[in-house]
Amino acid sequence: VVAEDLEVCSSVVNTQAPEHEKHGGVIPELASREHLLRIIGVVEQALIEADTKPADLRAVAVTRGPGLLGCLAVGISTAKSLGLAWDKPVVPVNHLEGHLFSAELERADVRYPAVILLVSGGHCLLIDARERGRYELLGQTRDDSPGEAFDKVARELGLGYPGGPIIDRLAANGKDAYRFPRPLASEGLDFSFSGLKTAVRRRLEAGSYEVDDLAASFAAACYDVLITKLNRAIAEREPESVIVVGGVAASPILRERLRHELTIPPEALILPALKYATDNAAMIGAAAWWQIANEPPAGGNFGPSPRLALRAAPG
Amino acid sequence: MTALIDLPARVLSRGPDATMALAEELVSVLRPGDVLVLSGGIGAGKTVFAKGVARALGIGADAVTSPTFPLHNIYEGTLTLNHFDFYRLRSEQEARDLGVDELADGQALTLIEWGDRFPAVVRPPYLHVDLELGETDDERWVSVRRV
Repeated sequence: VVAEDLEVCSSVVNTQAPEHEKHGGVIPELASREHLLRIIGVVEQALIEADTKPADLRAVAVTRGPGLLGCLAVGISTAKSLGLAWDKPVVPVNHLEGHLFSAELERADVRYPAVILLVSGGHCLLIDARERGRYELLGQTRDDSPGEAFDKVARELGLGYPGGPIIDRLAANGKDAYRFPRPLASEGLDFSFSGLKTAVRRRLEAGSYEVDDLAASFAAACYDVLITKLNRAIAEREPESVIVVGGVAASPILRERLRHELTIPPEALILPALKYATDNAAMIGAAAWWQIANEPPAGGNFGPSPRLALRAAPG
Repeated sequence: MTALIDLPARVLSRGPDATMALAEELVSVLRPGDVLVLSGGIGAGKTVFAKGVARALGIGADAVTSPTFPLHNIYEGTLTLNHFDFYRLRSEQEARDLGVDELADGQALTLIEWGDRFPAVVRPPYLHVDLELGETDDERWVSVRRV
């Protein structure tokens, strides 16, 4: 439950992580079954924690995509049913746009134009938001997302899931001893992480490595690339703010480096609160408020859109 | 039905561009409905190979990214390209639930990265493309066999 000024009245995250830890990742059919079992309880808990009645709500917001079809379908059919029962409009939200709004939750001082980096397990997008809610894609990954690369390296090392926090923890005790490549660092605003993955694999197969140094070297290469691209985008676009969101933005090492290495004044860097960096419902509510104010109502005739892209800026 | 072609057992690719060119060459002898299983461990070049397949179908290679997180990407070219990934799956049942068989129809080519993790799920005939790291950073050994 999110208020119009983006104060978060409640944000219930029913994480499926304990179940998934056994499996090393989110499993689609398992996930959509779990969704179905838990979603009503989550909605009830969100209302209770916010001390809100359905009648007090302005709208019901739901993720339309991108994502796994089964999970999206569970969310959308639940939202439409609640909308009908409560006589509230249903607002379909792009998951990516939710992430882009996550840094605005509980803070009103985000200034535009902004350069936004969205880095997570499934995504790596660099965006110019000339104004709130209007996006131009500057660059994206040509192969893997950083979150995926972290997970794969962690699994190669026989560590757990998700890989990001584990690699970060090890990296804190290691040094950048192996100087892995910084893919595409010297050109443009697109990203590539698969060559880095290969370099780590070659080091592993060579057999001589310190696991802490390997983690530190891999993390340093990833974060160097992210910071280099951000600084290039800052030079080209001269934004008022730089916003870094998505699961990878929860990394303490990355957050610390962003504070020191970006070529912007410190107050121009906007990082979401840790609890809103990873997937959450509050960010969907935030994006929904923007849509309610700026877009015609969606009506009830929409379905899941697993490959949904960002809306481009007009013109 | 997989095209009947004579494939050299194992070819050395000098780099990503050559791997994509090999993939394009392979597509030229494939038929709608064919299925390719891609294997080779992390960073072997499975997604690079997939980009070559996409290019042969008139799909921009840059648009094709790793399907590990989404599990199934769909691209529209001269044929539909179904791009699956079994990396995160932990059981044959989960792999079946992705619906590879239903989607591998006469209007599509189907690629399955890490498909060798659950080979029983992929109904023959299909082509198994294996990528191994070569001597230098860019080199890969590419082998194709009919299953």
